Amino acid sequence: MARIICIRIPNFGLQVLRRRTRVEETVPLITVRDDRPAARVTACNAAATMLGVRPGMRYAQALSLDYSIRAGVVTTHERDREMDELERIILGVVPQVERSRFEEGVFWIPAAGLDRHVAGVYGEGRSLSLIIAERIEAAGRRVFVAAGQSRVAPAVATALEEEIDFDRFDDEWEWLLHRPLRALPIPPEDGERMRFLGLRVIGDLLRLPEGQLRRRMSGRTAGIYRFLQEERRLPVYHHSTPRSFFREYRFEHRITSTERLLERIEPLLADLRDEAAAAALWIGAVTITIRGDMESPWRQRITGGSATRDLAFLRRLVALRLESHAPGSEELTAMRVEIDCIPGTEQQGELISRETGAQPIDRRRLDDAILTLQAELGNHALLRLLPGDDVVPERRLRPVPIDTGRDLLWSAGVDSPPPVDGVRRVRLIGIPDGAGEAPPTGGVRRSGIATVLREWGPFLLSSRWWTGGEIERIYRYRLSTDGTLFWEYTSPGGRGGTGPDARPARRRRVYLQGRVA
Amino acid sequence: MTVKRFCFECNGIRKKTLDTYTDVTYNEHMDRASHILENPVAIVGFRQIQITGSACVSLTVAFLRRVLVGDARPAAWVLREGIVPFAPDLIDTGVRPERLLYLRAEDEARADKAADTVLRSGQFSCLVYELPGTTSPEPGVVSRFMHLCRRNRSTMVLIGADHRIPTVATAAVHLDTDVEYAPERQLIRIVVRRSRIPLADCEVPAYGPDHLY
Repeated sequence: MARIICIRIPNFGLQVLRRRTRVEETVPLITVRDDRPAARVTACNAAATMLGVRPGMRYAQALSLDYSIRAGVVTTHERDREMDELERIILGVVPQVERSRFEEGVFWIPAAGLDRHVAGVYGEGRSLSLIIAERIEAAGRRVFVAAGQSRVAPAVATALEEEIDFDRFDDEWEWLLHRPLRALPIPPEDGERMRFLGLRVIGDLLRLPEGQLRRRMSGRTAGIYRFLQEERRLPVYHHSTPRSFFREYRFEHRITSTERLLERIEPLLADLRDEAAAAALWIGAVTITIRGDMESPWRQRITGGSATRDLAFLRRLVALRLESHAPGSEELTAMRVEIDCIPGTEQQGELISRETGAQPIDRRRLDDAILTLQAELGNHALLRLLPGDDVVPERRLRPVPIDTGRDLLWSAGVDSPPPVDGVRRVRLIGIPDGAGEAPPTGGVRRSGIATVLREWGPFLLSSRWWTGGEIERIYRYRLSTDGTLFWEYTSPGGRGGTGPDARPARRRRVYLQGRVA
Repeated sequence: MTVKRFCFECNGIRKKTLDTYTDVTYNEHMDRASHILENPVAIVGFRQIQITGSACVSLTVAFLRRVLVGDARPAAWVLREGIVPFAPDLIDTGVRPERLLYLRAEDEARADKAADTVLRSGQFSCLVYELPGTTSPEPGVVSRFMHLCRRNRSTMVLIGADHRIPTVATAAVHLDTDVEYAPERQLIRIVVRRSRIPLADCEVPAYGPDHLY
């Protein structure tokens, strides 16, 4: 699915000039930088091109080819006005548009997530690109539109008048690397240098080290180069313009009750919430203005501390405010509800938390969350990895469906340091056969003193291998001097339950669980 | 916006060690990368981290380790393709697997709903949210998650790649990481690539004496 739509007004300056002079397409028309014979030609239409005029020529040269050529200068003011007009047309369809900083007449629209908006407003099956193109053409401009995964590829496609349709960014980028350099708005002088260096396609340019490029080319080309490099990473767009919406309501019969007032506010709030949601915005504040017999309008601005689209939350906020700040007993005649919306990504800036540190665990809430997830996804969808008894290390951890949230807290509070090196002696206690309920690995272990070179852990704690009591064990891997890797655990003691931990231990003991094969 | 780039190469290739756990070392390069990640999270309070690239799982797990060490709450991982990260490597990296809850979501709507439930509960320190392929999440949805993260002091890691390698193995890793550090956007975006392992049609690298995986 396309993420970015590029809109290009081809020969932007010429189109502005043609709209001003109202000449026919068949008349050779050129734009020049200044109104003087030595000024350079910046653009020419097809009729002028047929006569041999090319951009870069002097105006006098072009005039010498054919005296019927018409020329004009397009001022910056005219260009800006035209860009504003085009932007206004585009913003009539989509909530956001971005101008290219390298070329005039090029716009980008972030189209991700606008499918529902388009389907809801213009009907199913309509393409956003087509809708925008129709609007611009209806306003008397020629336009090329292309959609892609990044900004640069659709812009190049429109410059070359090619079509692109890639689902993957990598495929699109590969296509882009083989497009000619003339598709980029590189200054003519730099274009000459690139031809001299043997650079033909965009991929050649990107292979050039940035330092070399800066030394040899102009700042504008270096800027384009940086833009291309940034676009290689997936672009992230954000909205930049906060907006507000309002609804006004005039009471048919004058009211005095706060309950009645709240009843009237609710549908207006719902309507405004839908409007904000359609524009991909969040509600940051609600302002209610009420007019009546009072001297000045009753006005309250209500903020909930964070942006939301939760209608129940908004309704409660307004009700709380009305309870504490009632508009009075006067008769009310009209009201206006206004919402201030905050774009999503800007809202993230407001939500920065400088507080760090561990949060306390509420086991009941955790259990509730697990139950909710089980209901939503199914029991089989909630998994955790538990140590198994397979000899192949990769299979020692097996996925097990989770029962309650407490299963995830079994090892809470134990740190996991990196491996510890150093020779030390550890007394290992073997587990005899038949001592309580056997762990999954089973078998007899040998007691004795082991000289340990290195150890890893603690990283595995016992889970519900044993039925009955809650047993916690701190597991470690320890590498002995003879190359044996022991898998052992330390009993914290006094935990109760069955197995070797049943009786309280006066000091911690290291039990040998097994050896790694 | 500040763009930091760094590139590491892990020269020490682990030699068929996983079957005996004798020479397992934590990859210090990954540690450095995750440290860079951790600093903005701790200092500025970034709550959104987007990690892409074929080896995005490696850095995600390294980051998870740091989060789980500092927070008693468990973490959750919303799986989109049903592939659980390579479990022995989780232990190597230092993540305790018992504290990690995997959620298998069949479609986008369920994944969103599960993520919402996890973050809303406030009982999870971190949520890893897999994106299908290289798609970017809807800004509105992410913004809502950010709100929940901030309220409950959780962190959300968005990961996505076309050819994602589920292993987090430290062997033969070429970590080529671009960190885009954009305070004005409250976003960290990282691309992690792995060069020595063939990316296409490769899920788990072959290693070990019997080339089991």
